[in-house]
Amino acid sequence: MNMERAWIPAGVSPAERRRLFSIWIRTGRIPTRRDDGVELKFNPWHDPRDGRFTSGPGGEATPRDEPPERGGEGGGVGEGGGVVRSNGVYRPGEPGPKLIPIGAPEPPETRGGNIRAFEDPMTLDEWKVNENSALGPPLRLADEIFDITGPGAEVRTALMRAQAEKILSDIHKLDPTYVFQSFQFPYSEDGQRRLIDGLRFDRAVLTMRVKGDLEPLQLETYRFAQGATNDAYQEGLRRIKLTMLPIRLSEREALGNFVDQRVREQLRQRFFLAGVDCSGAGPVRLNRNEAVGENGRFRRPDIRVGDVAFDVSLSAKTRGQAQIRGFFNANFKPSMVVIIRPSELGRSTSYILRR
Amino acid sequence: MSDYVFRSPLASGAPFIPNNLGELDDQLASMMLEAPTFVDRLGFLPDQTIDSRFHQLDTALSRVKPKLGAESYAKAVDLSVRAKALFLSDPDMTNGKTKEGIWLLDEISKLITDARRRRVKAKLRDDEGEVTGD
Repeated sequence: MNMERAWIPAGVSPAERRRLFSIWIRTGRIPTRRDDGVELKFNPWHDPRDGRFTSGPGGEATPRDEPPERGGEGGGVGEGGGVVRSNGVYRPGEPGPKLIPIGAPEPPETRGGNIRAFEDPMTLDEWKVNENSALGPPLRLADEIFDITGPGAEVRTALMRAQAEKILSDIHKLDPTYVFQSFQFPYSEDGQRRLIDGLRFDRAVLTMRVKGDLEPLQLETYRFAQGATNDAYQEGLRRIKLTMLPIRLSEREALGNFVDQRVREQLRQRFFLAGVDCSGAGPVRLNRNEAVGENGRFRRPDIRVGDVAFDVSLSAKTRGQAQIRGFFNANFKPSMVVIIRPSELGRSTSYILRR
Repeated sequence: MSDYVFRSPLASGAPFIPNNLGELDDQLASMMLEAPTFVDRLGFLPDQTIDSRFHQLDTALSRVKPKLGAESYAKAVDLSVRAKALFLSDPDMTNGKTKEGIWLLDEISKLITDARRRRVKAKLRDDEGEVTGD
């Protein structure tokens, strides 16, 4: 991909830097912000005076107190460069020739376009969905980062390659000695997911080691645990139906225990692979006692990464429940408790409870 | 499944071995969801096989032998050998041996639970100095 070189302004926050990067890789331009706060992006349908949309390239926005006019067949709106509907034929001699959509059907509804293919979220806050929920801000599904719709294998591969190169570049900034296997870039979607997931996890671990910043690892922990939870739930349910698993009290209790234990075990192996000790000495702790007060009481979250506790559960939990209150009262003072539930149970099943 | 394998340069190459009774019990539950083939469904352990899984189990059993006690340890090793043989004889889950093998893994899990209960009752401390049964 040959793209024009662009510079991200100095002093912007890491989150803003990632946002600007995602826009640059999509449009080839870095948006600029004027002194009055109006952000100017590359878009020929913006009124350059105030950044508002017009109905034609280079046009003027409709005054705010007037209802917008709708262009009918054969006539456009917007002065000075407004669209003149023609028969849609490009004529080189015509002043300001434009390609005009005529009678095209509405595009089918998609899952929101491919913007996520360019995103590089690195914290749980960047991963949450901006909507209200009675329980807490819901989290996106673990693999929504790969939610690319429409393009064929070549385009998907190009997008994934750009992602991989970006992450690898971040890794080399953290650890110039990081030597990555230089085999052929995977062609299959599964292989590409595996590669991006692997690189993201390594970047998160190196960010923790080099900068002491745990936020990327908190996000990757969630993404991995969510995938493991979904897998354990589906397989556990299937095997219980086949009477292939021992049941002590009830099927639900057994399923909950199998999911908990499976997710913990897979996480242990995942952290071990990345050289992260999660037995209690470091900031990553799996199923360890967390002291509450000074009188020997404790709580035991499934996972703790820094000041974030994670609880894998089949049922929804609220901050009013004793277990969750206990987590928040633990001496490590969690800033949030992330409830991870099988995605099969419904939309927005995993969410954040804040202190 | 893709044939692409991501190998992190951060990985040591050595297999993970559970360190205490609780971690071992988690591994047994996990194995019950993988039997009889023990293929890694999440795609991050491409080299996992029935042999590697039972190597982890047997090594972990020997690691926790002092906590388990000699008698329970001997029983657990025997159950492990029998379970592996059953899984190998039912690779397609068609003859009921997989279920028998899973029940044997559950027997090992019960031995571990008993050992943890004994340790809590005796107020024995784990590696972090706490009474957790580990």
